[in-house]
Amino acid sequence: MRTRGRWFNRFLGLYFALILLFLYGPILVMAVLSFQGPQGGMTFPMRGVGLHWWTRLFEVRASELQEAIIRTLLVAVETGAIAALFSVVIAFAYRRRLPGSSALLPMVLLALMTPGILLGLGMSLWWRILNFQPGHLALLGVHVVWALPFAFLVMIAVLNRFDPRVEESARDLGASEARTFFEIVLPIIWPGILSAALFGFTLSLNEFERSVLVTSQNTLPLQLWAMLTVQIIEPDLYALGTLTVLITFVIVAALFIPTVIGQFRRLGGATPPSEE
Amino acid sequence: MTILAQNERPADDGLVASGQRGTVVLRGVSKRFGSTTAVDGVDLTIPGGSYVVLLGPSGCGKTTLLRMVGGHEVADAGDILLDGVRLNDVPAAQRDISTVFQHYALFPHKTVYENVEFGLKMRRLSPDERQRRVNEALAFMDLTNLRDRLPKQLSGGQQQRVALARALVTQPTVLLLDEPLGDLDRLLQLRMRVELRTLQRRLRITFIHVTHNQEEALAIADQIVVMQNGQIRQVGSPQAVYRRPTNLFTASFMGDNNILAGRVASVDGDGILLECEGLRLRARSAPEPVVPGQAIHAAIRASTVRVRQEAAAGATLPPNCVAARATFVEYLGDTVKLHCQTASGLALVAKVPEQDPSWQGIREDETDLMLEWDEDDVQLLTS
Repeated sequence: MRTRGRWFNRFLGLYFALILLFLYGPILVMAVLSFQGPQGGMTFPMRGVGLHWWTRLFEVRASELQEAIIRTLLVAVETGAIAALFSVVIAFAYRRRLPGSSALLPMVLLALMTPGILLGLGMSLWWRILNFQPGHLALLGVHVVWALPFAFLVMIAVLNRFDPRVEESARDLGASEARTFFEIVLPIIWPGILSAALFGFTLSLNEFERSVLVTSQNTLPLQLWAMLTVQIIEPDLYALGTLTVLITFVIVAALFIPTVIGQFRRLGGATPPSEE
Repeated sequence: MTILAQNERPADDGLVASGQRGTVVLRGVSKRFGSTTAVDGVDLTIPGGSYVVLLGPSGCGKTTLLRMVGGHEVADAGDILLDGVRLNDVPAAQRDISTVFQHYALFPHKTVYENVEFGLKMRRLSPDERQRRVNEALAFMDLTNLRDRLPKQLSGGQQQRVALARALVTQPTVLLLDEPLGDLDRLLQLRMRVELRTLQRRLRITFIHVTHNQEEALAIADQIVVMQNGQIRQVGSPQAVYRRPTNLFTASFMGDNNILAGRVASVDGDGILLECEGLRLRARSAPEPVVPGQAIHAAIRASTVRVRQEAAAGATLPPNCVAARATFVEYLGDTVKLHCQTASGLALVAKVPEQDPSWQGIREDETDLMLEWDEDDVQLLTS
């Protein structure tokens, strides 16, 4: 890196620090403010420090939010599972270069470009025309549409790194298509599938604009929005926000990081022992 | 030893094993990918128990041809036969053929033992039988102490041995190897190519090996198949392909040939006289009949060119002899390559052994040299 110069590297370091601050600053402020004293408000200055609002969150708010939390988690898990399953199937079809597969990528990505609020509106209109009260299913529908492109992109990246010769050698050794898939392909790509599912899970967990028009049963983000608009808001919402971020972070760290490390190792990040 | 194929046994009884099983015949085999023709009407017979190397530059169709034999690519036209049985519609899983893939394609999540066991498991062998044969194969390839390692914990050479054990444990009659030495460093390549050859001799099954490396092909093959643009250019023993290239492509691809363009001047009972850019050549024979006036290429291997330090005596020189000066003396260790230029501006290369005194004392662009070669060493490239 000598040619780039020390100042350039310092600039890059500073730039990176600024980006981190930009990304995590708001979350940090929220976390700090959740430890306001009982008389504290929604902004600085801090009036004392304590767990007052955290206690209130668990003792008062929890029962209010319980239903929304359970509903949100349920939809998120379902979205993750469905998005992962669909994305695996689509990614395999894409890889096999089936007729029309060149149209597949833009088609799937189109769902990303569509404004979420319009998607939600369209969906709710559609159900109304069909004279059907979908509730949970409608919510799941928009969430899957939202999560699928991301999961698909993850799976394409995973399959790109997957050497097709490994599959061929399984067939070469006498394995049927099914055994090749379940005994060779699946164990190799499952960390990727898990990442795709996680992507779906987190996207669903925080989804707001697509959900707002399709359901009357509030998910957690909808419930929070409702609370923000109709109630006097208090720092216990900051505690809730901090908690949500923490939980998401723990899940991602527990599942996603080993995946990334695993992929990295498989790609040859680990040095092989020296030649015999 | 079970890893040895069935035709090892008759050999032990003093019978000749080769030519029995594992004969692969290709008849008019073609394969197109979109608008490009990868393999173009290939006819080839690979004798059972022989070591055949498909040699050619990248994109010449050698790997596609190998994949069609293995069942990983479907031929658009033509027949592929193994011991007289048409294979075209037999899936890879049911062919009596194993492949060592490029980069080995080991199962990354399975141990060495499980990798080797896989083919036997697919053949639904009993656990006892599987265990016995895997252990034998591991011992045979000197892998016993690595049995519980994962592929990523192995060196390139060890991975190659696992790939070989995995392919051979099912006792195929033909083993296909796609650039098997490509991932190894040079010293290991030299060692492993000897080991591959030795392995093939021990097993007496057909090995079909794909490479772009001329030296590797010359070192291992019984038969070299030179390919270009999806077609076979020449088939022959290493000596035949190296010494007697019959066409321009083989002569230039095998390297170290002086290739001259010229015309046939006359043809008589015991030779052919050529005129090549002011140089007169005499050749003993041509692979195909030639007529006077015909445009032709001739190849003279650099190592057959003799060098004398002597000025032209003024009189006209006989054929296969030319006055020149060295423009560059390239010292290569065991040989010395003299890059020469004739008075008429023709570039010729002579390669002499390092111990040979003929090159010593040659000063670049100064010393007058006489280059000559035998008429037996003039190859006409007619086909």
